[in-house]
Order: sequence, then structure tokens, then C-alpha cells
Amino acid sequence: MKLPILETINLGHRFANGRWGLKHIDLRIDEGQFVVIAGANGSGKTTLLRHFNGLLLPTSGRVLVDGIEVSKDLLRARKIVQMVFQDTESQIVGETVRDEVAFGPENLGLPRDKIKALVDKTLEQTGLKSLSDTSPHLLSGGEKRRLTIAGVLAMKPRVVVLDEPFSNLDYPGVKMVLEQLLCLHRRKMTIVLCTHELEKVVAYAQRLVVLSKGEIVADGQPDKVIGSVERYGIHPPCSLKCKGCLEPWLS
Amino acid sequence: MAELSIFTYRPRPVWIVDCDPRIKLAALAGLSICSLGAGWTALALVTVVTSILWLRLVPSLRVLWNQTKYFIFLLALVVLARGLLTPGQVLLELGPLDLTAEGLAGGGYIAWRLLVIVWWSIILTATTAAAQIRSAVAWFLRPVPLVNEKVVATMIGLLVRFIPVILQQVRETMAAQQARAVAASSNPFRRAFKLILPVVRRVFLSADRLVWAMEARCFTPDRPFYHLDRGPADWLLASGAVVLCAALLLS
Amino acid sequence: MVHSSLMAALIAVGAFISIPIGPVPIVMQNLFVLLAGLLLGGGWAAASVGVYLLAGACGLPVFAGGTGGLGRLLGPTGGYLFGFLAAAYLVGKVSERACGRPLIELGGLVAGSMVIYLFGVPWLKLVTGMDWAKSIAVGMIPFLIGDAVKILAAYGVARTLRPIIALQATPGGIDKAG
Repeated sequence: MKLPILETINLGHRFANGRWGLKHIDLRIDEGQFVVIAGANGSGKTTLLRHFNGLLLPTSGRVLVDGIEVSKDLLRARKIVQMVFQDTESQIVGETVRDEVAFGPENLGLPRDKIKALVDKTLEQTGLKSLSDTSPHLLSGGEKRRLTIAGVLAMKPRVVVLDEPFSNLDYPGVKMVLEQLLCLHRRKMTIVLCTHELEKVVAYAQRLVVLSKGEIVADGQPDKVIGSVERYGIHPPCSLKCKGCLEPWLS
Repeated sequence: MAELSIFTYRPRPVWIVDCDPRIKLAALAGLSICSLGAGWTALALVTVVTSILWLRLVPSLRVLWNQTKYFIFLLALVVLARGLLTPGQVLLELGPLDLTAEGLAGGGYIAWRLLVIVWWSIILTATTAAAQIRSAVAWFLRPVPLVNEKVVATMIGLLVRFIPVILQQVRETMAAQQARAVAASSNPFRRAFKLILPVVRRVFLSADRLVWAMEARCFTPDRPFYHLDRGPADWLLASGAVVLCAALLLS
Repeated sequence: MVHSSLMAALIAVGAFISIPIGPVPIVMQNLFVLLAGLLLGGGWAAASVGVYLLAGACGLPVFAGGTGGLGRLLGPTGGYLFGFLAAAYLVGKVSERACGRPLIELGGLVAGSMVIYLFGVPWLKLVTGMDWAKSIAVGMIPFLIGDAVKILAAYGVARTLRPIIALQATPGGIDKAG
């Protein structure tokens, strides 16, 4: 059997104040999968995501990225797993769009011409080329989110982890981001996305994991799992109630 | 930075934009220091040269006035104070004080010098990207002991990066407080406290999120600098600056 | 380091925030200088003011009014800017030693505020050619009441924020020192 790209074994995390944020998380994610992690506020989604690239280290259990434990080689884990944060405002480091995309590759110490080529290609792919010299603060919400995704893609990751990528976005913004994610998925990128708004994304996912109070309470194909989500404080998509099936959100 | 200054760096089709930022900085420093000892004729010469450069750059003096009016107000006070306090030929009697020609001339001379220096700074700011200035500063700091130039460069970058975020938060907090009739409270201590506390707290929290995000993209202070290289335009600028400096010193 | 740059940015922004009270609006800039000392300690507080001044001197638009540059540092109010550097260091050093004793910290804040004038007033005198009495009347007296308010506010804010800043867990890496 192929090695999963992300794996957690009996992962537990306890905060400094003694509360357990995560308990007994066993999760295997294969390369190329599109996984949605759902949960109400405070269910431990963000905490879980931060273990995938070693921003947090487990109190108990293990986290493996491509077969090697995250804590053994943080840099390697962070190169493979890239994260898009919920708050775009505090993720953007660069003074211009181009600087922002170049930030990651510069940290990796790549040669200058290679960085330039990489940045150009990424800007092209994400449709931000015409905005290269703009200050990120002048972009719209959807453009900012796309910029953070571009900044992450320039690192050439194998897994992209997104924390609530649709928060604070208007309809065109959500559409742009969603289309971009689907495009990545078609190119066999592994995508892990956590959200409490299932409606927008669940129809495209291959797998739905539901977290509640720091534990996995459901895990499986979206249409099998979706029936139980309301119990855990997540609003099920309207199409499920009206038509009894999951409908793609982009039409 | 749009909030701080309407007039910031934009790529412009003028040769000075492409000059090496190190030379630009050195020219600025050299000219500033030399002009402190300059006489009237040299100041006039430099003013003419600077005006020509300015009009090539931005065909408008209005922008210049908008940029410097606050500073000009300060300088006007200096001229007035000098004029009233220096003994000499009396032009106008104002109660116990006399406005003297010598005083006005002396004040005007000081003000003119400072104004020219500020003007050059504006030209530098207008023609140089923040990242370039940062790299040039780091380059100059390299031989200075006890100062880690890479840390300084990173700090300047962060400083520029934080300013719009903080301004935004101040504006939001002030608006929220005005909506709850903060003006009704007449205790100045309370008002200062209630404004600063939430702003500083929010700003520190967003700084922490920024640290997370930088970590996730493998941040290291050991980043490559903006590409610095010299071309013919640089020698033109350097020799021009040297000539002007000499003129300033000799007059 | 990040916190220090953050305070530098706050100092820059402080020049634009004012609370209108009575005829003279209170500008928040020196409040942030004092706050930098209280929250970061001497070395990093001085670093944050230093970075602010350096960025300004090199032409980045961080000084009040939007224009930067050496001219600003050499201009009539330049002395105050240098005074900030000394004040941040002094307040920081005092509060490092004070171990939370309020009277000593407040004493440090008062001394810090005075240090700003120690640099600012002679500079103003030099540039404008006014005599001592006038320089003090123009460059110091009108601000004293505001300073008292700012000292109290800085102290209050620092008391409230210290535990929060100390608690924040940062992941292994760049922010160890400040």
C-alpha cells in the first residue's frame, strides 16, 4: 500500500492552561485527496492543522509527513505542507504582491533567477500578474486570499492546508478561491481544508472529517457523513434539506 | 502606505529610478551634510538643479507643497523667531520685539537649507522601492560592529508592513468608540487608556499571527537582499552629487 | 524582534493619532515611546526607536506629515526624535530593574519624559535662536499636562498587557528575544 502523505497516530495536544485541545486523533490522508475537516468553533480544527507543519507539536502521539515525523525535521515538513491562514491581513508579509509571493522561495535560499522564474509562473497561474507591483493592502478580499494562496504555491508544496478560506469573502471572492482550489485538485495537489461552512465546498471533496471537542466523531465520504453533522453544531448544506443530495456550489 | 503619504514609490520612466539605491542614499547623506555649510549662491544653484530634476520626475509643484506644508509651517516659525530675536536693522516694530532684516535673512537661510534637504529625501522616497532602501541600509550597516544588518533590514521591512495595519485598527477602534459616545467622557486619562489598550492588544495579537505565518513559510533572517548592481546611470548620479557637494562646500 | 518592529510602527503611527482634549490635542507618539520601554526593556526599546529613526532618515515616509529624510532629523523638532531614543532606553532599563514596583516605574517614566525635553529644547533653541526661557515656554510647558496623562496611560496599558504578551506561546524560532 502507498504511504499516506499525512498521518497522525493517536495525536493529542494539551494547551498551556491544561485543557486538552485534541484527543486521540488517528487520521491518514493519501496524496491527491481533497479532504474537508468540519467542526464548530473551538472544536480543534485550527489546532489540528497546525500540527501538520509543526507550528504546534503533539503532547502525545505522532504526526508523520510523508513517512517522517514532523518534529524530527521541521523544515522538511514545512516545505511539503504549506498553510493558508484564516486571517489574510496577518499572513501577508511583503510590501508588494511580487515581494509577498517571493517571500517563501527567498527563505529557502534559492538562487535569484530561479526565484524570479518561480514567482512569475505563480503570479501567472493565480491571475495576479497585472497586480505585481501593487501594495497588498489595496487588494480586495478575494484577491488577498488568492495572494496568500499564491505565496504558498510558490513554495512548491505537495499539500496545501487551508484554515477557513472563505471567511469574510463576498460571493465573487468565494467563487475565485473555490475555482482555484479545484484547479489545484485537478493537478493532483493534496488539499486539506477546514471550515464550518460546508455548503460551499463539500460537494467537491472526497472525504469529510467531522471534529467535535477535539475528537474525530465522523469520517468518510461526504454524502455518507453529512447526515450527522447537525448534531455537532455544523449547518448542513441547504441542498441536502431541499433535494436530499449534495449539489455543487459553483453552477 | 496610501494613508501615510499619497506620494510614495511608483515605477517611473526616469533614469534615477534605476540607480543603485546605495548610491542614492550616499548622495542624499553627502548632499545633506555638505549643504549645512553652504553659502547663498551654492544653495541657489542646488535649488535650480533639484527643481529641474523634480520637474522631470513629477511635472507639478503642488505635490511638493502638499508633501511639505507641515514642515514649511515649522520652518516659518523658525524664520519668524529668528527675525524677532536677532538684533539688527529694524524693519517693523511689534510691541517689545523688533523684526530685523538680519534675523529674517538668517532664519530664511536655515529654513532654505532644511527645506532643500527634505526635498531630496522626497525625491529619494519617490524613486526608490522600500525593499531597495532596506537592502541599501543593510549594505551600509554591514561593516558596523554590534549591529546585525540582516535583523535591522527585517525590522525595517516589518515596520513598513505594520503601519497600514495599525492605522486601520486605530481607525476602527476610534469609530467604534465614537459610536458609543466616547466624547461624553471628559477624563483625558480614561480616553487615552481606552483607545490605546485595545489597539495595542489587537496589534500585538496580529503580530503573533504574523510570526506563525512567517514560520510556516520557513522564515530565516538570512534572506537574500534585493539585487544591487551598478550601471552608467549610477556614475552619472554619483558624479553629479560629488560636483554639487564640492560646490556647496566651496561657496 | 517582531514586537520591537511593531513598537517602531506604533511610534510612527503615534504621530498621527491624537485625542482632542481642550485646545491642544494630545499626540500619542511619545506615549508609545514610553510604552516601548515598559514592554520591551531597554535594549529592544532603543532598537525599536532606532529602527524608526533609521527608516525615517533613509527617506521612508514614517515621520509625521509623511515626509522622511535627514532634513527631519536636522530640523527644529529633530531633538525630540533623538530624545525618544534616550527615553526609550532609560524607561526600559528602569523598568527592568524595578521588578514591577510601581513607584520606581513611574519615576522612570517621568525621567524618560524629561529626557525627551533634555534633547528637544536645546536643539530647538539652537535652530531657532530663541533664548532659554522662550525655548522652554514654546517647546516644553504646553505639553506637560498631556505628558502626565500619557505617563499614567502608558503605565496602565503596560500593566494590563504584560501578562498577555508574556503568555503568548511562540513556535521555535525567531521571536525569542523580543
